[in-house]
Amino acid sequence: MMRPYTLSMLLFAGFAALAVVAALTRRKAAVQIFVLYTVAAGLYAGFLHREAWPFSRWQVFAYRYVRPSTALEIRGVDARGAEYQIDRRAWEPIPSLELHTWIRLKLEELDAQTREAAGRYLLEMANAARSRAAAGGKVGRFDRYFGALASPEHVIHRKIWSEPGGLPPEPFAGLRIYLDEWDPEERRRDPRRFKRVLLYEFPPR
Amino acid sequence: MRASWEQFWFAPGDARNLALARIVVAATALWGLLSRDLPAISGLPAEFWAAVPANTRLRYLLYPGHEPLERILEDLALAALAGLLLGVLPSLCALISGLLLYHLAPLETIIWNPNPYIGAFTIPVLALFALAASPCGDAWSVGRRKPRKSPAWAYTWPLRLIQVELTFIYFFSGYSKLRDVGWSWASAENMRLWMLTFNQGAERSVFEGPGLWLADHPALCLLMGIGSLAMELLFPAVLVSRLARRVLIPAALAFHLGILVTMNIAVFYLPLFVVFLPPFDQSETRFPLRWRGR
Repeated sequence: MMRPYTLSMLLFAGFAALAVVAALTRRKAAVQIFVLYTVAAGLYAGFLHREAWPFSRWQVFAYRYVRPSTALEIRGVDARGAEYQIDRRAWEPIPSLELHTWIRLKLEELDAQTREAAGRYLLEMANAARSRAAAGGKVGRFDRYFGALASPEHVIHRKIWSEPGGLPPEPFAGLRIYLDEWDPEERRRDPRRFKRVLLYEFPPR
Repeated sequence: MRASWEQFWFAPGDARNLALARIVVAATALWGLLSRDLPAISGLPAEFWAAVPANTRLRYLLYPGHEPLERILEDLALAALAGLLLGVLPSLCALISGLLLYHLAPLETIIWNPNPYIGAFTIPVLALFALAASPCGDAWSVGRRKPRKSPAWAYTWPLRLIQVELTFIYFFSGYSKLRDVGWSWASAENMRLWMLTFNQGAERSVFEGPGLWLADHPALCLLMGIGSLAMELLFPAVLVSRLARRVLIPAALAFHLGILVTMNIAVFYLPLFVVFLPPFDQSETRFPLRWRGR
């Protein structure tokens, strides 16, 4: 049985090779084969539900809701112990959704030393972004060419450090990563009804 | 069957429609590339790459610690996309940019996922290879005084292929929902709970009111669920029906606007929808847009 990544590589290699043949020959038969192959690869990924990027199964939001709702919350802590939300742009070049998913799925797999090094780096990123913003510069990098017209991330977030009074006044001495859990119906009645659990703290106490 | 295949893919087309697709695909990819910093992911400390499997690295030839090399490759991709946009050596530029984007795009998600399908470049990568195999520089190319003439069938299939890839997004999104969840995905309760969840985090959203308002109207939640599923599953009809294009393309745009304001989810590839509205056909050389029925 061929491994999924091998099949994905071969699918793409075939796709690229057929495109080159069609480009070089410009013959209708070569184009027909390229078209047929490309459509078949897309149908394979879709109907057999196999991810073979760039041929995708397009599993987008195909989930049943399961209680409880959860969300990661990364907060900076200054020397006095005050906590602040961190603007998502501080993590660029890592898209914030990818960073949050990486923390949830992968951070636990790392040994303590590697995890601490990653936390130290995130703390440096947050402080560097805060300093840039305090100096009147850009918080992140993605809007460096197009400003507000930069292509959006998949999930958009408020630019909290650009809002009046939103920028933390002091550099961060540490980071805390929490997991918030809640029941949506309860929280709709009372927004304060959620449970917050500390997952990681950098530097560790 | 054969006649339908011929008619669908190889009906006589206009070089300007293909040129327009070339420009939009190149511009969209440039926009995406310049709105990220993909080479910098290669420069992240090794801790962030620790969970990336060896086969993923091999599949895309991506390794940590090569930011300067990735910057050169990104510059090459940008140059090739600019060449494609202008119509300078368009096939070669499309091929080079397609290969380089296949290499660079996975950097967006590689720290946890080898398949960046939600990211910016899935359709552009596929479209770039189609453009490479087509006479996409026959019209609207810088430095070419006389338009080059290819067989008329050669101008249609690349647009069709990009259209088909766009319809796959919707159809297989719907298919995945039925396969993984079933028809209950569209239930008012499922929609309401997701809508609440997306708007209740500690971090305040860009749009908060519309999602919470919708969540408080179960009938509208149900309508949204059924409407979304119906739009996704029926979307391939835009390939063959003028009526479907008139209904489903505005419906898709409304759908994206809806999920933007209720769930704060944005999409990147909407400019590519221009391939559904080729403004020229063989007998019609004037703007404005004209719907082409079959």
